[in-house]
Amino acid sequence: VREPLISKFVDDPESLSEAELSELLESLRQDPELVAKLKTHLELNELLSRRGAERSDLLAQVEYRVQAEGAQGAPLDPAAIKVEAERRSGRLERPAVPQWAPSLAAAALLVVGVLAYLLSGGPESQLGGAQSSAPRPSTTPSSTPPPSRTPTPTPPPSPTPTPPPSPTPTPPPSPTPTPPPSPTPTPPPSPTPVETPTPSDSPTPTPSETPTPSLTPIPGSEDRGPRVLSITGRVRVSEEGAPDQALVVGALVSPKQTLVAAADASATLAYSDSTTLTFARGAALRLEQKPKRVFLQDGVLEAEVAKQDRDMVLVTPHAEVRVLGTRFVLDAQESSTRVQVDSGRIRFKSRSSRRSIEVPAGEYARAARGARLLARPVRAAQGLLVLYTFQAGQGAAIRDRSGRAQPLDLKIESPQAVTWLPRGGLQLRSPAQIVSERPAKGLVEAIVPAQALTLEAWIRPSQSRVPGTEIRRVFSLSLGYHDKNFQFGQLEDTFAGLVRPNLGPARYDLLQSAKKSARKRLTHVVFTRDRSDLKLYVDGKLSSSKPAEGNFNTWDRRFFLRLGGARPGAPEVDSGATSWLGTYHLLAVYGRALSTADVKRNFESRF
Amino acid sequence: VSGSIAEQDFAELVRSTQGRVRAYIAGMGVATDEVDDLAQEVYIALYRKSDAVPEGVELIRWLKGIARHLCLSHFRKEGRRAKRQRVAIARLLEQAPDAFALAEADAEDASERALKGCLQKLPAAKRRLVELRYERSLAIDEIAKDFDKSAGALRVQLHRIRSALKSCIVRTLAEAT
Repeated sequence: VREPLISKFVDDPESLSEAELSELLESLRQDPELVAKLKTHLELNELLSRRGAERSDLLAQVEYRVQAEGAQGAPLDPAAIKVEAERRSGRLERPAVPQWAPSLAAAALLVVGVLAYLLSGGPESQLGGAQSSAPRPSTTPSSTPPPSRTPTPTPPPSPTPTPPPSPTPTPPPSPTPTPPPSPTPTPPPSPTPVETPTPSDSPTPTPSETPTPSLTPIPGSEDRGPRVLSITGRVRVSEEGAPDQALVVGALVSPKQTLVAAADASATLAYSDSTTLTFARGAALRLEQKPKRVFLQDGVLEAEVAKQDRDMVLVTPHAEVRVLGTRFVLDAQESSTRVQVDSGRIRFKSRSSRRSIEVPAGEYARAARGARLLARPVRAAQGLLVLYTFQAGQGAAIRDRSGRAQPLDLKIESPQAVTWLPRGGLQLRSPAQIVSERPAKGLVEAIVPAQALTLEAWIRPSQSRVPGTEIRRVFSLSLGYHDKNFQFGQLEDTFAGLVRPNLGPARYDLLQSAKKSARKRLTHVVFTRDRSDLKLYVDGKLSSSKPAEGNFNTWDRRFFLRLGGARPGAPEVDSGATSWLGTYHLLAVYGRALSTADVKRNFESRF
Repeated sequence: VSGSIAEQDFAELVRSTQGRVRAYIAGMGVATDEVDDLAQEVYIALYRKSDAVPEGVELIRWLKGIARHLCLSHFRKEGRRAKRQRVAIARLLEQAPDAFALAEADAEDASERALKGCLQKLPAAKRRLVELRYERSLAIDEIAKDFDKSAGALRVQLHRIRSALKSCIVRTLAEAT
């Protein structure tokens, strides 16, 4: 009598009725050996379950949770938050500092304090290099005067690198975020007056008006450091004991200066050996004592490093990059630093663990306290139509980060129903209306000729099983709930992809993943459809497939891209019952069916 | 311990203790599907409250204490059926000795290796059943269709396979020491 009951309990304790549980409890109370036996089976059951492919990587899940939900440590000093927010032009907020250890929190506050001091001004400063001795008109702090030398056709590198989404593994800030200011004095004025930019009384130029001079080697300047090659938007230069000033094209950057780009600005520095550093999006950068040693406090830096005799070193609060000649993008964020290598190979070292790895071309790595230092493949880019990474942290807009000419941004119409997670991710707590700002005509125009598409999501459902027989919408291309070109969502304990072929009204081609594949955990789900098959992949592995029917020729170009479900009472839906609830970390649509290798690559790339 | 956690590699701490934490949670009668979720909560608690680990307390003991609290809260959750019985069963189970007395991460690895060897010794049909249930994570009802047996009969068969595996693992570990 006991064996079936115990075996049923071990297999699924939730399946026992109350009467069965009472019976089991009574048996256990009477027989301590039976308790030991049951415990053995439960533990062995767990040991056997670890062999399963469905078992998640616990560490990755924990890293994800800390990243997504924040460490809930002591809140940062409000004044420090304000300073940091202002520094980032009010577009980004510093997440709360995790309470990993009080000393780390203190170190983080100290860094912000130092930064606040640096940026709040002090005695009058001078711009570095050639023009530093010239008095600067106080009425034109942000002007960008043109250099007097003749421009050559050499094009500057892209001023606004757009690195792929950030997985942001996790934890607390580095205990040693800011190296001490360099004691090296500002270099003397340049002996070549032709290089000195002329101050101008003209108003601040728009990005398109900013001149972009060529990179001409400057005799005798090799040991001094880089010059400013181009600027887009507002970039400030701050120096201890001097007020902030606008960075100008042609300026020679000296070690004592910290260069800070506004959230929508970028600047390119060029060394005489053709090495260029482009920093953008709120980046704060400083040259250390040696000209080829650069400290990136925060933000994105794209480097194109000419072949070097000795390693060029780029340092962030979390990592160190050594390079002899390559092209890569470095992105220093609040709690981690990401590097993506486009060509060549770099050595990437975590400053917290002291471990280092080589990152080859086509891969990226992230350094953060407590996270594994791994080189991961860069996501598939071919055929990408829209990409949302949910990194904004605030506001009602979700930006399309695909890099396409006409991005399809989304608008959160029910902001009270969502929560931006402190380190990335958007949580839908109740039915919310999130809709593209215009019809997603571009998606239809790319997908219909190809007769193929991919819908990709990194999500965390709030329920392993949703009730009802309707798909809970994660996202769709639709007019309302009932008129759609495609839809992706959760159906009971599965993920479901659905497309509308030309087979008559209300005929949809539906594919569900394997049972129990929808779990309350971070999951990568990809739905593909080409001329022959529909496929669903869960966590990089094929979960289900079936032959495709019909074509997409009757797709409607007026439909909008929609996330979540409609608000209760919305006109096009009877209720919010179709809403999926959970957390979004990445959504992408491709105008082709990703191959199995592409899916695996995007899974391994994380987000 | 608490003073040194900040300096240690958090990832390494998770790696070296997760097997024992998972086994502890499962041994409290938590469904296999939910063991992962609770184990996550344990390490999130470690991450957020590392300074709360008392000096001189072995980390694994602290983790198990957190796990115990989470398991009991889990059974008492709103809407859960038969809360009283689940909590009472968990309290009986926590008094029982661990199946494999996994004191160290090394022992954890050893038991996994022993299990692997013991699985190889199973007859093909039984190995197939274990593979379908544990490696492919198929539900008992689905496997039952393939084997043309009732779900209850298959559960009992799995129960006997686990008993045989347990004896084999204990024997293998004893021989190794």
